[in-house]
Amino acid sequence: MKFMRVPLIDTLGKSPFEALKEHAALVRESASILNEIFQKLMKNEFENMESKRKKIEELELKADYIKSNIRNHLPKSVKMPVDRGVFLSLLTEIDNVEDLIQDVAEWIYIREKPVPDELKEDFIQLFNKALEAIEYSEKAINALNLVIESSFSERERENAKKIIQRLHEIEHESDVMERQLTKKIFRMGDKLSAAALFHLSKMVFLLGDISNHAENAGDRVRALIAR
Amino acid sequence: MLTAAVLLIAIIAALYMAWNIGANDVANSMGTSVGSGALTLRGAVLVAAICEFSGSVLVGKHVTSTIAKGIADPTLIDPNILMLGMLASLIAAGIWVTLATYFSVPVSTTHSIVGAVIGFLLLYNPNLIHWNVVGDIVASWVLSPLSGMFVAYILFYILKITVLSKRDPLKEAKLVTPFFVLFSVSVITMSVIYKGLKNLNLDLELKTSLLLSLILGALGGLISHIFMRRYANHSDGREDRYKKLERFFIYLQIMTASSVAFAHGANDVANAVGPLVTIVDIYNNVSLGGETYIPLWVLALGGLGIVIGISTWGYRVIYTIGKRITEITPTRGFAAELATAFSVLVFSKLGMPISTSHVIVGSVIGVGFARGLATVDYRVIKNIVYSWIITLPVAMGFSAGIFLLLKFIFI
Repeated sequence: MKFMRVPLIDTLGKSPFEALKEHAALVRESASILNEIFQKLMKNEFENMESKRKKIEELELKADYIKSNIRNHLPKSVKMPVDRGVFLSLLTEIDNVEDLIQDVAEWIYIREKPVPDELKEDFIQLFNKALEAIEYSEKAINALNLVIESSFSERERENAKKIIQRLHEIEHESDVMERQLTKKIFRMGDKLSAAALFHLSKMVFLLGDISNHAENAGDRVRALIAR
Repeated sequence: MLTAAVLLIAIIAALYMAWNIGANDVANSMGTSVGSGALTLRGAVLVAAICEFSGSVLVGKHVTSTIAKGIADPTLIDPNILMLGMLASLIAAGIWVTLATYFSVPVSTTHSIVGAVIGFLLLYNPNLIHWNVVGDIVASWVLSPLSGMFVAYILFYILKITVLSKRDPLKEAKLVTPFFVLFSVSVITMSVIYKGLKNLNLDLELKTSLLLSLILGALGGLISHIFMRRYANHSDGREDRYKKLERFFIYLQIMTASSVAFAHGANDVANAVGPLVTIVDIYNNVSLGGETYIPLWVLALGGLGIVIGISTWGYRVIYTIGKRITEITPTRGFAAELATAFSVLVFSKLGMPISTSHVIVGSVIGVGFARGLATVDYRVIKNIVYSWIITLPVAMGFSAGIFLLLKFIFI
């Protein structure tokens, strides 16, 4: 409606923190679909992979849309209670996690071959670590929201810091698993085809990278809530 | 004959100006309350109409005298010319506000009317303009966003340390609320009774009115305390805690939104009826030099115009705003609105014609400074500065042109 002038409204936009929460929720949703794909892989089943992969692709597109929407609505003239640049790089890290989820789904779909039984236990562990990292990155973002809602109360900041601390631990645990699993894969070297070797080791790398970016997101949150 | 015709047109022009004020500025006070779900659309229109009307009739007097007589000494101007000039100012300001509204430029109705009066005076005899008075008015323009900012910052900071950062914010809020109610009710009562009720022959001095305001404020605080005891106390989860707190603040926001509407009526009715008062005086052949008696019916006319504006256009503006605004939560809205009502009422009492729109933008920015808001777009400040620059010359030009036209027709 044109026939009005309300400078008050022009001062405020939709909260980018809320939008970030929406984005993180999409990441969680994608992760749960990826979990379905992974469980099938562990059972050596490969039907319906295509439809699940497509679902993740759609979610990734939605997340991308939210991301660019946030960026477009944060011009330089908008001031936030936190550092705008750090906020945008938090967005980038969370979006990286989403991209990696899609990458893993694609990577499993590209070569629909079972994982050797002796590696399955390690893969399950590494995968669950990645899921935990995703879960905690969403927790960190929700904690950030509470910090903003409470206008930087000490208690909410402490709560956020605890979550970020846990993210560091998860990333470290994931690193250790990643190293051991890669070693195991290469020790099996002769028993595996070249294609399997490449496929499995890259999958390990992608899964480990999820935790890396989740940790980065946590670090950004820590920088945002610092006084 | 001439004066009767001019008076009639002036009454219509004043109504038109008041309509402008009601149609557009009302969203400043009520938009956030509808947006947060504190009030329904119908409720908001009703509350706004009552508060704006009583504000303009009960407190409107002080500012009215400044605009009509402060800028120039009316005794030095030929009554017929003065009458036409005031009429020209009313029409010019009205047209400019409507135009600006159409193009979404955040101009101030206050600026428009002051610019229009100056425009006509420049054409008639620039030497008559009291530039120091004009300077005071300009100073109060800078003061309006600044005072809103300052008071809102302090209020939100108090809210932060007394409520938001506490373990159980809702419980703390219930403890602090009566004091906020006391403060609001006292400020409003003070603005009404201190030197305000001359029409009712109730001219109270400072001490008496201060005491009476505090008593009424304390009464309000007590009532709010009794009401709050019925409100559920504990909150369950972490996430839930702030949501419950925000829901609780909805009730306080209705109070502050009403205060803003009241203050807005008190302050902005002058922009419509100020020039009309002068014309009425000339029509009645009252000598313009002395203390002018401002008839209650003139203020009521302004209030009526504002109410018509609210109910014909204002509700649509409120509706749109209410849907668009999701960002300003009740706690933040409360701080910004209370700061606005306080600043506007204090300035009205001092006789300074400040801009309500600019005060509330200042207040929102003040809450932003206290790290209360997720985003604040500072481009609006730039827009306000532009509107300062643009409104004065345009309103001046309009009123000068219309003045010449009226002179051609009537004299």
